[in-house]
Amino acid sequence: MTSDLSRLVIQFQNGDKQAFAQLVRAYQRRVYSLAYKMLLNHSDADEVAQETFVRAYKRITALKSPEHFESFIYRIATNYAIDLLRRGKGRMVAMTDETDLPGSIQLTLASRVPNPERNLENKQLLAAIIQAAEELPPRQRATLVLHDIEGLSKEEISRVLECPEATVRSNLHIARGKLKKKLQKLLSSL
Amino acid sequence: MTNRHTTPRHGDYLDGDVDPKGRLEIERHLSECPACRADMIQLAGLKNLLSGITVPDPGDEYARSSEKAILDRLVEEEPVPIASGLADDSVRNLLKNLIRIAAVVTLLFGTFYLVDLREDSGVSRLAGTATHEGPAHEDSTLILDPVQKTPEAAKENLLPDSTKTEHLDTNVGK
Repeated sequence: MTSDLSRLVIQFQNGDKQAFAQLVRAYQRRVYSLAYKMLLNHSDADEVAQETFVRAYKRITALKSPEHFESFIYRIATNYAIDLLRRGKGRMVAMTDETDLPGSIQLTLASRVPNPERNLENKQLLAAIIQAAEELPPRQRATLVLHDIEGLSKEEISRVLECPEATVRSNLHIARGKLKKKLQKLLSSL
Repeated sequence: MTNRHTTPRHGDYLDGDVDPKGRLEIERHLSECPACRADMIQLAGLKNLLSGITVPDPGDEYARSSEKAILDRLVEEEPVPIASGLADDSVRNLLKNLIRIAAVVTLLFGTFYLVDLREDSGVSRLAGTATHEGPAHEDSTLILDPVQKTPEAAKENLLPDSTKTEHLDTNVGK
């Protein structure tokens, strides 16, 4: 975390509402992106993004180290997303009207197949990944998204999810195993 | 067929979270075990795919409207002021405890004061004047037994038993 962001956090903790607004601007896209990858639709991701900052505003005094603000924000977002998953939300919603969503948001898959022009295969792969991810229990899905998609380390994830690193490692192994099993045929053709 | 060798360590190896000694052990095993090699290749393929998933930027308009919605919600919900000091749980608990202690002390002092008032009113009534000099106990007829709350009751108790009438003075504390 940069020193500017740390300074904003301290100002926010001292009651500076402008500092809070700047922190929202700095982190809202990242929070939205994380929420979308966990919940797979704009509506739920938007709800998480807003609720995260409202909760952060109310709980900021609980943050003892400003440099851990990112983990703090991610923790709130991830926990709320897990709550929504437990309530049965977090399903890919078919986009019937693109104008309802800002910028036609949808997950995309970078061309990782050997032949980058095979877009259909990319779409099929993405659909298969999404279907498999939807079947994962909430905490396994969260661990997989945070590590393999968002790129957080296991140590960072253990801070976000407030669990031991061994638990993160175990959940990641199980989640990957389940996805691998479902995508076996597709992965073999890569 | 399930590969029984697959452990979280394979994932750690691909994540770069294994020390050099561990890496050598895993690589030696991979060179000897086709099942684990196949697993490792599939795992690497999966990691590659997942790291390629992106969400396009929602745009500035969304960002502005989302920020406004957040701030509007905060105004609507009237969050606890951060700078008031009362948002701190420990300060709040301390204040609660101080209020409780103050209430108990007030109650105790109030009780003692009331008891004291009653005793004082009993002595001054027996003396007859507010300026009675000398302690009341010097005159035996003026000694007021705490049980006898009025001078009449006190006098009654001084009379011989045969002349004592059972009289309950109900003018207590008036």
